[in-house]
Amino acid sequence: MDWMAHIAFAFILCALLALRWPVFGGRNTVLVMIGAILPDIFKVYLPLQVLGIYAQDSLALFHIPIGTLLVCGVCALFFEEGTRVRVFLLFALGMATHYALDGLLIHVSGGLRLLWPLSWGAWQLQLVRPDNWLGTTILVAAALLVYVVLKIRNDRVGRAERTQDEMSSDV
Amino acid sequence: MLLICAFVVLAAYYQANITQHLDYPREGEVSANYAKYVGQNVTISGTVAATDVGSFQLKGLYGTYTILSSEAVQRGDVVTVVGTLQPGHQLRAVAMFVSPWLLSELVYVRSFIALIVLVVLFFMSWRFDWRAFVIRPREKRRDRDQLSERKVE
Repeated sequence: MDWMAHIAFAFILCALLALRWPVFGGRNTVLVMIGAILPDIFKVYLPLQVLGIYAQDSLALFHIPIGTLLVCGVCALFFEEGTRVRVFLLFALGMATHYALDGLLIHVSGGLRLLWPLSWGAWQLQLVRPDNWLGTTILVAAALLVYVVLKIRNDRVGRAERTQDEMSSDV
Repeated sequence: MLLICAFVVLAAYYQANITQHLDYPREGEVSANYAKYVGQNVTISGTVAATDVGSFQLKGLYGTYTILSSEAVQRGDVVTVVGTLQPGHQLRAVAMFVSPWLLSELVYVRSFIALIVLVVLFFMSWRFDWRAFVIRPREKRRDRDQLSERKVE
């Protein structure tokens, strides 16, 4: 599945979660969106393949939850102390959205090795074509809709709060 | 460092053992010992190089295979096929996934656009502090203004 679908899905999820838990909103949303494409660092094997380097198996761990979690941990270390655990958890949430979407894809053979190294089993729901553009379009449209609706809502709430503040200061 | 070491060890373990846990041998395994896999189901991925009646040529990573199938494909399509390997680089297709050339290219175009959007969004909210070598939240203009107002007061 393409990265546009992944980041749109992560954005929608964060926007909805932020209604209840503000920690998922604001600048933290982009961390979940980054987490949503971290497993696809694995795709570096494609340009390497063009150069004649076969690295699909060496890089496969990036696209396995245990490997992605380690990558999330390493990436979180680049953030300032005191925020690292939260950053790691936000990356991990993004990672979970990635596997949730990729699990829907059609594969002729193989699939996601979600439980590796405990199990070599591979799973796939075989529902969506990997080159599907309609799903991406729907997700991006939904993300834009959610953004606009929440912006209007937040502006109204902000305006109401300002009016209330002005009224109380007048009194 | 510990995380990176753990990653390298797990990656090495995966790479060393993956061939024993595949549903079907891939082109890499087949090309290394072709005779061993004749008569078995294998999976080959590649691009359609030429089409014919009842078959087409699939250009993989290590060679070109003749795929015996009546599936309608066009030159340039990206195909993954599972089939029975036959002598002479032939494969009788059992299952196949065909991605038209344009659709498979558009996946990369969309992903590239998404990457640019994500980089812009990230640096709107976060900044890299080169001195401390850490990523910090970027202060919003409103926050900066409030802070300077407080200092003035």
